Amino acid sequence: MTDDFDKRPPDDEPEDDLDWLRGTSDEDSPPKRSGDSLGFTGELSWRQDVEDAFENQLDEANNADTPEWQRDSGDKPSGSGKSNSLGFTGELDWLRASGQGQSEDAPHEDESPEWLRGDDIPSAESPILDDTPDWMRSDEQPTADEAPILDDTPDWLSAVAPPPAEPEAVDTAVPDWLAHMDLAQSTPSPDETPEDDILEGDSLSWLRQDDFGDEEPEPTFDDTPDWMKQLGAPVDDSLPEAASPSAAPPDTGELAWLQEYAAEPTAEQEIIDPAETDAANIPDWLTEMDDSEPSAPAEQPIAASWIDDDEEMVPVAREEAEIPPWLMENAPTDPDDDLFGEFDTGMLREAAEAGFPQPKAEEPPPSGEPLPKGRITDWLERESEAAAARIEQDDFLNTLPEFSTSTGEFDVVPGEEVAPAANDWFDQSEPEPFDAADGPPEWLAELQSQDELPQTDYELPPDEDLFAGLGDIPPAEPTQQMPQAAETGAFFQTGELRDIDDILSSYKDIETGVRDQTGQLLSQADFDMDSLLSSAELEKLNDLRGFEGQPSGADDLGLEKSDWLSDLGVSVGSDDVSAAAIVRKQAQNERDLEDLSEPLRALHAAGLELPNPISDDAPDSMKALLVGVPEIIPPAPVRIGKPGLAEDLVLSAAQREKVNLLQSLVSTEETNKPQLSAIDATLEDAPDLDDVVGAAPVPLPAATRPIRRRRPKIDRFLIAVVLAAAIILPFVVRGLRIGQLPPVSFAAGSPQQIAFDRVAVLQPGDTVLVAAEYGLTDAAELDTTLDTLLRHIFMRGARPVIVSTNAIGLLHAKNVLERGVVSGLDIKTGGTDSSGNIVVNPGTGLNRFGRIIVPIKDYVIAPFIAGETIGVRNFSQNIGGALANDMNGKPTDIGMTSLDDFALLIVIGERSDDIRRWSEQVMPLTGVPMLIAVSSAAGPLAQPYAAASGDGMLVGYKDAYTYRAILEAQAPLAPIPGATDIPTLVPTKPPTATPTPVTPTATFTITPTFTPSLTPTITQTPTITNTPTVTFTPTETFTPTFTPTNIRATDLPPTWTPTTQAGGSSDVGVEGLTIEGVVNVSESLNVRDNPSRSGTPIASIPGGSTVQIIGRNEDGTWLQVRLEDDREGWVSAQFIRIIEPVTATPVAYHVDPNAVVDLMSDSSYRPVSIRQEATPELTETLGVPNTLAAPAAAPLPAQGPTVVQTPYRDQRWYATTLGLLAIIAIITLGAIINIVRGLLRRGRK
Amino acid sequence: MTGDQIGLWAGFVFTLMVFSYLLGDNFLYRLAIYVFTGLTAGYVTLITVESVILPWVRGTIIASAGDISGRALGLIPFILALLLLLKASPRFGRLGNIAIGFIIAVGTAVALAGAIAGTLIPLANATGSGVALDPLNGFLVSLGVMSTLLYFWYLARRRPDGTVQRGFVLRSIGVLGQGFIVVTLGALYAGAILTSLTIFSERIAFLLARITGG
Repeated sequence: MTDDFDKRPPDDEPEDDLDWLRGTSDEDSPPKRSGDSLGFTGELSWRQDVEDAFENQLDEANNADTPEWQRDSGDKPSGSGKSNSLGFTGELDWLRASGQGQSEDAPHEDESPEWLRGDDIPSAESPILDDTPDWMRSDEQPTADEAPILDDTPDWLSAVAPPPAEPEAVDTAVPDWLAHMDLAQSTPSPDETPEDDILEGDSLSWLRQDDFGDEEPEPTFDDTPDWMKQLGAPVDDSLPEAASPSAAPPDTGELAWLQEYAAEPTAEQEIIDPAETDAANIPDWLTEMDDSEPSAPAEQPIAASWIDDDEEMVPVAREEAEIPPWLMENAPTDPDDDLFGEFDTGMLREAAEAGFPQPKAEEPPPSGEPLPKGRITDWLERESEAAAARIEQDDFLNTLPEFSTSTGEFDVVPGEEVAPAANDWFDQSEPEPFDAADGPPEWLAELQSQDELPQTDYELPPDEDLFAGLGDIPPAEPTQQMPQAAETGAFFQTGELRDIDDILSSYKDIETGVRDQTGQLLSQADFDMDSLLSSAELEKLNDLRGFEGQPSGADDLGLEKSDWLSDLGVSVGSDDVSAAAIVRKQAQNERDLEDLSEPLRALHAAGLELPNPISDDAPDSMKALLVGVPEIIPPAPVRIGKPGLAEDLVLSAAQREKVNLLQSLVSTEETNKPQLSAIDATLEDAPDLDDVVGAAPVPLPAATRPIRRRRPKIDRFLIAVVLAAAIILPFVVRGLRIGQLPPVSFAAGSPQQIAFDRVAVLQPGDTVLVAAEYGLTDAAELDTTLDTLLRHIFMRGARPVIVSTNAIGLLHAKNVLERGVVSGLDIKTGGTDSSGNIVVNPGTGLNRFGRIIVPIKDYVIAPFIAGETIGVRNFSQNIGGALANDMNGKPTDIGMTSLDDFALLIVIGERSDDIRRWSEQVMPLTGVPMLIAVSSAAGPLAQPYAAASGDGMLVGYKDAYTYRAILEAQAPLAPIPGATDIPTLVPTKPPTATPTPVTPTATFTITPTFTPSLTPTITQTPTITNTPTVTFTPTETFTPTFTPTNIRATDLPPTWTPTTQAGGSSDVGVEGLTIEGVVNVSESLNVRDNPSRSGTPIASIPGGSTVQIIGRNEDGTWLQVRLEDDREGWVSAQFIRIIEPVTATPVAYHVDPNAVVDLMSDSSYRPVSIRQEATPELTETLGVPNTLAAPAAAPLPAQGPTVVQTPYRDQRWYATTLGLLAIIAIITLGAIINIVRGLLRRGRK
Repeated sequence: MTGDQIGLWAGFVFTLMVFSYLLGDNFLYRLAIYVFTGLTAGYVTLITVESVILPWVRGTIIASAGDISGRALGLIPFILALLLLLKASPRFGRLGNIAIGFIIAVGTAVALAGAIAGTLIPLANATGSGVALDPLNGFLVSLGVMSTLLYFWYLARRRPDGTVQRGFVLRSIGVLGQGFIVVTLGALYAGAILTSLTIFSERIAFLLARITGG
């Protein structure tokens, strides 16, 4: 057979051919065969005839490929009705009607199956059978007795003509849609043609059939294939039988081929009597169709007789020549005649070679009872009813009776149920071949029994025929009673269910006992297909299939028993199994494990060994996201992680982004959970984020709340201990002072040297703007820098103006200026008195700046600048107003109006933002050089601004140390030219007073006078009023002088040996002065017994220590010092830097009359008067004869031990160095540990 | 004991309290932090009032007793401050937008002008002049500046496979800039460590001085 699909119109593709089988409930249908259920044979057989007719007309048609329904209604029917009317042109050649053979001498027998051939197959001109639709008849006008066209004609027909009246319903085994297409029937007579039949004379008049009935059929179910719909009206049992086939088909023109096929045989054409036809050439299914009535006359075409359900099935006589050659012994050589062509399965060829099977002998109908019409529709109805009765779920195929190839008939007797296990026909990969010996099917016999149809014995195709078994044996009733429906519902009482739609719709009404994983009975609202397969249903499945020893149920769905599921590859692990898997398994025919092939068994075994990929512990995010779903559909164990690190799933970067996006969009418990900041995570007691406003509390069940264990952080403690030891020990242990001190000078041309030079060129009277932009954090580091810079400024005689946008910075600047920090020793002053005089403590009160400084005059602390950037901008543009008053509100006399009035700008900041602020707001407005001093942390970021300004930069403690060393090592301390303000107070040799007896009558009057001169002269005249009279006359005048800071050794009195004067304090010295010097060397200094290098070293003074100077040699190259143990020795003067002597006359203390010292200042300074109190006790107690006849000198406060210590800054540097080494060691060790840990972890993996 | 000595001993105690954080978060550490924070805030407030607000009031409102315009000018900051306080009210919060807008506008203008004149132009000049002074160093500086800026180039093309990626040349330069950034961050981190050690050593020295009486 050939199936020239190319000749089909493009729009007419047949749909599911099984549609017509669905829901058919024809209990009287003959036992079907395997091929009957497929519905192929019957359709294709008559198609061949039709197609042949199409081909004949195709060449004559103008629009061969355009079906008629696509044309306008007024078009003249063309001769080619092949593609126009029926809508398919490429039908099977063997289906072509005998009209082809009728019109041409070339017979169709070469293409149509042999079993379809019959002598009674009319030619195109042969009279049309009563049940032949008009459209399948010849071009002749329909006869009067033709039944009107069915109302349910295809739309394309309806559009052209009104739907015709439906034929009478005929109870046959033939489907209704086939009955309507009874080609054997005659065309309706013109008298029977409806008056409003506009098809009269129209090309579609062939549609009118008088045997279609007048009433509109009641459609039971749509079981007509679509392609059949296009061909003709669907079948209906209520439709009347086709009219007498004696009516001639109308002359349609387009459907001439069909009409020819359906037309009554011409005179010259021999009407083949089906009964006379060789039974071997007629398939059983055709012969069975007409078992109730004698077949129609031979002139009736039989090709379409079996398709008419309503009409009496009349076997269509087919000429042997119509059978396609592929079914014949002689295979066709013409490739066009090959029905399937490349689709040839070979079965049909074999069938053709073997010949048509002999039709089954028809049983005479019981007496008195008319033989049921062997209509295929009736058979299908019976079949569908039987299937619906025993259908379970959607496995309707199993309900189909089994066709036995041996007997050529179905195992199940009509009316009996079909055992599901007996459906072995379904087991075959190919449909059961039609048993040629079975004879024509019942429905065909019915057709043949009709009067309209000639009795013809059809030769059934061989067993391998693809279309074998179709309609041959009526379906049998189910032999096995369906198991009683469970108490869960009437689902299994499927007798009333006819089709899959009803089955599916009935699910909604079923109350099952399906439970989810939590044990909760699912409500009907939660019911779904997948949950249908509960244990109860699975048990029923097994019962139906007769599985013994393999009860299906929830337990069977375990890994160890899921044979049938494993074969399907269904993931097992939960109680819920996909319905699709079940159906698929059913479709594939469940087999025992032993029946599986070796590879499948091995696969099954491997599947059992696999771990359960489905975890019952659905992630919380899934539970929150898809409520209820995880209980039904186990979530896939997808773990999201870094690409390459996930164990189960590796996501690409794009997939990772999509997952993150989905997680960010979907609100889950995890995303709602507030996160702890890094700082909070380090705290022992992290703040409860539930208290955070706006944070959603995350309630945790009490059972799952983890118990927080307070584990001591040993690692952190150890690191802290190591660091603390590294910092503290250099202060205490001299041996740990490792490393080199910073250099004592900057590199030439370096930013640090440039900064030093900027300050070194300041002239006395210059005003320097200093911005102290740092707070508490970096005060420990930048205070030293500020102190050093201020010292240098003061030494240059300039006046600093302190400003800041940080209130703490102003406070620190004030402390530095007023308290004084010198080499780590907290030398404090006594503040200022009511007159503004600085009170200097006697013990340690050294003016660290080399001179007395006073606020406003010597320095100004400006008010706080608010607004940061805006405030700096405002300050830079309003200098006069900003500096009108100091921070205390006292008016200043700076008199500055712009930034250019300053000699230098110094910005000391702890952050780069501070430097940037001043660089952006101030530097562009002035050309004054700006010096930058920052901490070590801000150094890299401030470097660009320093490079841009080119005025130098100091970074951290190191540069401050070096700056200070330069200040101390170089000779900037020498009085600068023209600087006369430096007081020169040189301690002179105290006078040696010879005490004389005091005459009680002597009167001593001590009148201290102060002459503001460089050499003040104080004359003391003690007055003794009490007896005995002692007269004391001091013979010498002590003129104490002070040596300023920048004094040279040669300025000291030669061979000056201080002695303790009577009445004086040995702690203070004769002169009441204590001159100290600093060992200005890095190493230690030898103390010799005589002022020469040849002297024997008696001691060693460490470098930087302070030592008391008590004398010098004549040239001043050697200084006599007093050690801590009161030993005296000589040191080289070049290695000693003499510092200001300590004043022994503090204002607030009693002053030794013999040790009065005046602090002299330059002319520009206000004279500092040091009050000297002469207590009455002095006068009263002056009676002591051996004393100075002065009142007993009040003991001066102890100066305290002279501590010779390493300079403070050196200790800090050693500590910083050791701490840095400790940090480097800790970081390196930690990195090594992490690397080793990572390698070990990888090795374990 | 003088006030200075009390202050010194108080500093000694508070330093130890802050160092107690080595043992973990505890009450003493939090007390020290709270005291420092409170004192700082109080001092800043006091300084602001004394150095800014009072002088302003004296110079505008009080000084211009008979001048309404002067008084009005003096009241403007207080009015803006009041409007800013209204931001806390949901009902009248919109009124605070006036003050915020004024502050933001002025600050932005000042910062923008300073950034152009004080940062962009001088740094560009320094970068260019560095090439003339020291070719190698200048080249490195210029390369570092350009590569760092190009590292933050966010424009790219979408490829047919859907991925968005910059060109090869741009990516290569960006990698170089990323290297410069890494080095800079490393240097900043080292400086921060050094600063911390310096501060720590100063505090230890202070404590030892208090302990030893030096």
